[in-house]
Amino acid sequence: MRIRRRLVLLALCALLVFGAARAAVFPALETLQAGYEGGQAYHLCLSARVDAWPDLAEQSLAALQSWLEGQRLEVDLRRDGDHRQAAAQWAGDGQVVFTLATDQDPQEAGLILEVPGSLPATRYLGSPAQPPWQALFGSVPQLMDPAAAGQAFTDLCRAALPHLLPMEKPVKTAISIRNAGRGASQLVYALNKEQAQAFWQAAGPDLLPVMDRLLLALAPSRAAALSGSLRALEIRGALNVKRFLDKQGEDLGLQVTATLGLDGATRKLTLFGGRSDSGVYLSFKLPATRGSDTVEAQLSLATKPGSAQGDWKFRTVSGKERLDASGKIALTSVAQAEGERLGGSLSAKIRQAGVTTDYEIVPDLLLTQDRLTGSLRLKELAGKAVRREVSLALEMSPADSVAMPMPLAEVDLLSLDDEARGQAAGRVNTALVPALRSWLAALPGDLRRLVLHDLGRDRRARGEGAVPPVNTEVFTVTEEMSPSTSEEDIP
Amino acid sequence: MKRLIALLLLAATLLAALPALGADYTLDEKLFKQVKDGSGLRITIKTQKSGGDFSLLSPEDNALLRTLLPGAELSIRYLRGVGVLKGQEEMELVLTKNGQAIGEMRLLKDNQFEQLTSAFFGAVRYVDRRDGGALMALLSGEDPTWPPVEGVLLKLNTAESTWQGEVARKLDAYSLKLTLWLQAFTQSQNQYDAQNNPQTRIIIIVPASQLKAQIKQLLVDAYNDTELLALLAREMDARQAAAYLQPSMRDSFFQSLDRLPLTGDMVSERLLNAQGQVVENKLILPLGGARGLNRVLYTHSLRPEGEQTVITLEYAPRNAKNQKGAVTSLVFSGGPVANSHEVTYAGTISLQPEAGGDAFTVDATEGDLPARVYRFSLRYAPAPEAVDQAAGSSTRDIGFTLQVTPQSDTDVKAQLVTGSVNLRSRLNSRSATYFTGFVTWQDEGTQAQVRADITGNTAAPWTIPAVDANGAVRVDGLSAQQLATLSQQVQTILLNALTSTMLRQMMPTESPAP
Repeated sequence: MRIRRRLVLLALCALLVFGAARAAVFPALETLQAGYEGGQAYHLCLSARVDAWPDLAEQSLAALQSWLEGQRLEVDLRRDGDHRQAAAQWAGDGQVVFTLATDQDPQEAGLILEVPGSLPATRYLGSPAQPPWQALFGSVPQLMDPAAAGQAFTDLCRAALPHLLPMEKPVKTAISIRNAGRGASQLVYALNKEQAQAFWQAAGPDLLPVMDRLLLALAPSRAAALSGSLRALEIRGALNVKRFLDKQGEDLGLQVTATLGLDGATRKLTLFGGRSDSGVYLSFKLPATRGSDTVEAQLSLATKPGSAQGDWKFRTVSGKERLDASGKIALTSVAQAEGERLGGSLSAKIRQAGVTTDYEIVPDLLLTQDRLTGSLRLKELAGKAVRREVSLALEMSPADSVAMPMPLAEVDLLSLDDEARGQAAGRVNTALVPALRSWLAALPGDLRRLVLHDLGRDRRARGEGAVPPVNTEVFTVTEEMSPSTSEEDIP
Repeated sequence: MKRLIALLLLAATLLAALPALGADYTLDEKLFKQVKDGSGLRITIKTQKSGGDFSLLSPEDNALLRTLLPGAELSIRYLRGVGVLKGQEEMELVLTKNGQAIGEMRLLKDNQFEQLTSAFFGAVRYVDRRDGGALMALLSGEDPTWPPVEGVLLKLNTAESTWQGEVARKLDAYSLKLTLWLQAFTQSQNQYDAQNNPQTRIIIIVPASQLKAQIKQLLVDAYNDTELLALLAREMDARQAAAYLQPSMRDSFFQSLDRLPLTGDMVSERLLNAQGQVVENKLILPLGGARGLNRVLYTHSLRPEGEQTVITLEYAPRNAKNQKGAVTSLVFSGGPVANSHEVTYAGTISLQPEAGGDAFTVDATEGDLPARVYRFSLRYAPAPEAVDQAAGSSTRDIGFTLQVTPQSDTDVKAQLVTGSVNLRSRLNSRSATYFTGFVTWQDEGTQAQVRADITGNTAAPWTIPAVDANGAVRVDGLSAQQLATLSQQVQTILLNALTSTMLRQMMPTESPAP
């Protein structure tokens, strides 16, 4: 689980880059993104190669590499406003291993899963708040949505402004914001404690739903908990808001300082940042006034056509738990005859519980007007040693539509009780075991035993078998010892 | 095929009668449950032949038995995976004679494909997509397009125990609905028997139109019941699910039901005595030609001399000029023997062909043809299970005897089939069940006898290899005409192989002395 969260952290760096840039930094990539946002369907073909993985013997790794050579993941994607569809099919050596499709709009979320010979095409129904993939697979890492976050932040400012206008005071003070540029003047809104409390009382009901959207876009897995904390927010001091305007009088940046009560503790909020065609700078700090608890984030990104260079930091301290993360962004695109070639690297260093791990994503992508081919190499390093190294080969092209599989049965997860829902999840989670067993059965005996030993490491630590048991039917024979008989008993 | 609505209704009734998994079971029930719940099954059958020819068989069939059976041994290995092995299946048949290999056949199924191989086919492997039906069509020559409902019933009735428990609970609601619906057609009459004892006659008469309407309602409820469909989809194969579980098929079934020429009412009559015992039970079920049947009549009566059951199958006439088709009638009485664990039945089975056979014109003066009648007696003797707690095992002996005597054919003599099996197993439900026994078939006129000695056991599930479709003959890619041609070729290959095997067995092993 930890590795997935860290890869998510790295992936969000990439999304921040592509979501935060305003000008055409990577025109071809933005054309693809615009096409997707505009309802164009895309087909993505992925294959993988594993060059390093911890706790796998050399022979197990070779068996895994040999198996992966024949595997392909084909994905169709489409977004039409609030309606998103995706259908993925994993096939190996000409055989379909499984087909998985998701379908979501503001009212409903659905998942169709088919595992040939093990699970007929079954549609599981849920809601956006309780999606079926969560009920069936447990918590799934969710990526942030920078575009939605940006829109939510703009909507938040628009919703707050009418309540602040009576306090507006223009100030002719210039300020320089790294990467973003120089602000020629400011609009300052200074509220003392009582005024800030009155502002929150009046504006809070309008702002909270927008803040929920912002949290959902920035931290999907923790949005519900954070939204709950916001509902108990207290204003414990003055509130100061500054808008930085450029020479044309357009918004360039923002600064917000406040003293807040959150989850029973008093914290100082400092938000400062700005954005323009030349880059973005964002600094966020929320330290407790007593003790060392804090949440801090910083992003500095300089952009120009064909280049995005910068760094980021993220730090949380909560009691004795501490997480420090930082990284660099160095992406370039070069126009070539065939299209635009995107290269460079994204890196992250994460230190937690005394352990430091480095991550790196190296893209090598060729983008044309509506296609993408290339590779992504993902590495995890402990010191100088490579712990994990995975290469993904990608090909993306326009598709006519998303071919959703036809379900033979439908299960409404929302109408089931906990026990029935657990049973449905159990069936889904063991649906792929026959395929795993088939692969294991095809391996030579010694290698099979070694792979089982490696795969079962975590399960053994939990006191379980290496592979889920064959079945739990009461009458499945497990013991073949014959009871003793005498010849008189045989007719 | 779509005339099977009546059988679907029967299927629903059968499913509703599925027993829940109980805590107690006999050794023979344990054997059945173990195979159903994904255990392997190994059987060896050794045959011998003695005496003359069977009067029941043709000279060619007798020659086949004389040649093949002595010293023959058939080994069977079978496994149908459940749980995480669900979807994998293996059936292997190996035939030897006096220690020499005669032939073998293997059917392998994995999640994607099914494969048929045999020594008779040489190196050729026939592969079909999973549940495509083409392999069975290859062997049987039947149309693989529509999966027969009998296969669905068999699959559901032999499904793993936990699934059957889930379905039984689910079908309780349907059973209750049927009971409530039947109340509208139920009448009760009070009467007295010859000894002036009070009796109650309960009569249910459902007109054909109402029967069709209720079947339609059942189908509507079933197709709207996503949980039931999901349950059934878990056990049906892909072809069966696509044929029977698609809600879009509902209208097609409705149309077939409308076209079904059901005539007459469904009638159920039960006569209960003062103690609530069913003294008489009658059922008339119109089938409108489904599976060639017009009507099925069932009567069970409790008499002082014993219980009697009569089952009559009235077939639809094949010749359009005939009013009446063939009739098959089974009459038997008997039951448990007092102070014993035996059950005996005796009765007759009568086969009356259709007048005029299949001829287009019928001689009006011919009338009904005489029926072929066979008298039979059956004895089934399951001994109580003997449990040895000290050894942690139990055994059970089961014997049976069936004698069939033709009444109208003087050339065919009485046939006697006798069998006995000993089952034994350790007390754990997951301990393999072993069985040893024999079956003999004897012609009481000519003293011809065939004996089969049977041994076997259930076994822990083994690993079934995946099907490699590369290099195989893909029958799923053939057109209907190509499949029919290949089916004829395969059947010819098998027939030629059997013939050559017989010839080899009949040829002397030593050269005559010069």
